[in-house]
Amino acid sequence: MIVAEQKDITEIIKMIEGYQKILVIGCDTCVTVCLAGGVKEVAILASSLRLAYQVQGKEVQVHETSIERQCEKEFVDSLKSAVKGHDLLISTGCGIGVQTIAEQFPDLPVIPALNTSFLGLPEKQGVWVERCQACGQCILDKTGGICPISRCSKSLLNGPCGGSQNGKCEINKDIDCGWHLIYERLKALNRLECLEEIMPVKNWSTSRDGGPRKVIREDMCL
Amino acid sequence: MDFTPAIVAFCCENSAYRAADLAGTKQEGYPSNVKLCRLPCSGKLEIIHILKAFEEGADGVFVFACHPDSCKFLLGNVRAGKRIDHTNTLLEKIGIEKERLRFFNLSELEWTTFLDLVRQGNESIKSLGPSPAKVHSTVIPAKAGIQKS
Repeated sequence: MIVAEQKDITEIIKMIEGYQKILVIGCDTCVTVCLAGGVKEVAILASSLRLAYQVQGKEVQVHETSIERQCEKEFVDSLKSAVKGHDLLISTGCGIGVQTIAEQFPDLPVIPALNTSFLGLPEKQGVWVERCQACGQCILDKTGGICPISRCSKSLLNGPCGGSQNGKCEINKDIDCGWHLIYERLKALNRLECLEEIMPVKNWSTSRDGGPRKVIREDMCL
Repeated sequence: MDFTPAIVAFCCENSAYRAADLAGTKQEGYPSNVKLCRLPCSGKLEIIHILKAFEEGADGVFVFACHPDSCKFLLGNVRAGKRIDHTNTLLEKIGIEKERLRFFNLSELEWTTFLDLVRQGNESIKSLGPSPAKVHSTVIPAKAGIQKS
């Protein structure tokens, strides 16, 4: 899932200065799970903004709504009637949600209430961790299901580096060494021979270095 | 200015609410402008409940939870405490003094302490004056029980 966290309220207040009728739009999918932009968080943000305006003595209307997924045009289209009459939209979706809303409602400014952080999972209540960098070439079959791109701080393909100590990364003792985890996992699977295979230099053009990416399924295109 | 603050007190029904009840049976009064809101556990309190209280005209919000290690649901009081800290930070950023939101730990037998806390809390909110969200507000409180001075 996509993990995000809310921007500081003062930053949001600064971004929405000068608008009179504001609609806060939540997303009921990933950002609900990471407690950043679901129905509850939208209610808190909208209420906080209303209070901030009340304190400033400004008559600004702040309304709230939420949709199933901000990253799909069909769901965003369902906002048409709710959006009417507003001069600013605030999205508590991820960066994809903000952009989908901007595409579907080109006449209205949209501002992000969240910082999109990473692709990851909830490790425990209140803690989310990164697991994937969407590099476009998955090698999890060779690494025991542990991703060296996202779990190794240097994204090494033939690790670990010399900085790994007692299973911890040199950049922070709270971070597990990704390659140590891979070694332990492959050992438990009795597949340590996987480590003998030297992985060639990675083609990063399928990652962020290749420009905006696109997936096309000809058989599914209409 | 004769100012009577509107105060909402969220009370865990296993401690402060019973303490309030006990104070009632002792025929001890507390300020009538403090409106009690009964919770099944302080852990049930959400940030939005506090914000809504301020939005609808409260000058102060008190939250009464059980003592540490005394929560019937184990960690409800701890969770409530964390939410109060978070809400206090949020309130300060939007221009509402954090002193308007108070958190207390109490047991069901401490009815005299309950009265003291409510009376002292009422006085401290009184000294702060009306909530800044209320001073300029054009919003009319919708819910009964929350007074607008």
